Amino acid sequence: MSIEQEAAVIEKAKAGDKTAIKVLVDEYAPVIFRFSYTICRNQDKAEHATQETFLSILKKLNQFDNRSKFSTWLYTIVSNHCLMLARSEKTRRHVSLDDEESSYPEIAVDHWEHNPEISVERSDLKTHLDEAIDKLAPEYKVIFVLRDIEGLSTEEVSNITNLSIPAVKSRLHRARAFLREELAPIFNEHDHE
Amino acid sequence: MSDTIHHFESCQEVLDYICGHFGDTDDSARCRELEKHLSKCPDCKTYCDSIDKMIGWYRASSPCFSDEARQMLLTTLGIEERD
Repeated sequence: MSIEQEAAVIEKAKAGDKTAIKVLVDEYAPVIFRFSYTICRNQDKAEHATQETFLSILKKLNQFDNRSKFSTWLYTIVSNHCLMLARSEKTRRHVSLDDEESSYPEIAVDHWEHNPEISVERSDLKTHLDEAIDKLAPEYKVIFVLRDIEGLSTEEVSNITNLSIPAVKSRLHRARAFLREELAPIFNEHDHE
Repeated sequence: MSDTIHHFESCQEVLDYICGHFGDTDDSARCRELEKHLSKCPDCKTYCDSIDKMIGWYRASSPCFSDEARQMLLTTLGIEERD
């Protein structure tokens, strides 16, 4: 869908046109679901988050003024929703990465020799991926998912999260280093099988 | 936009730069210099490769948004399939 087509669909959706809303659902629900799933690693919760986000979007659609990309606006809503959800789950314990905001952690470099497409089909590996990202604080998870999984630019992530560009880079670097370290023993173990 | 040759002082500087530009298709002098550094530095290359693989694993491990979930969403929004 071109930018012009999207703008026309959004205008129709603002007026309550159900066909236009359905077009937005088909275009963006899979994106919102994937984002939510990577944050919460649970299919039911991700589907629920997708529903809540769409209800929110429809309620606020008239506030969207085309000054930013529609996708950026959506990511802002779904990020806030996922952060709110994560903060409400008080039983979760996340690893703090905030101790030295100004400097990056040391990086241990070891070799990984895996083929990602084959690996993720293994349910034990999927469990490890889930466990590793689950330990990451939501504020770091959101940055990692927006930048690395969704492929947004650092500037877009900065706008969505309301953080400075250096803060986004710092959190991204820490999130990547943390996940890599968490997953390294698993992958090394698999390498030797 | 400045396109002067940039020499990285350390692997840490390379990693900081990767952090900002990972996944982008950037043809700046700095990016070309990064490529040059990676071709000569096995540690930075290994780090980049491992991050790339890790991101690939996470991307590949997300399930699709099912037809059932789509239908439920449309129902929640008060939309019928024929609308």
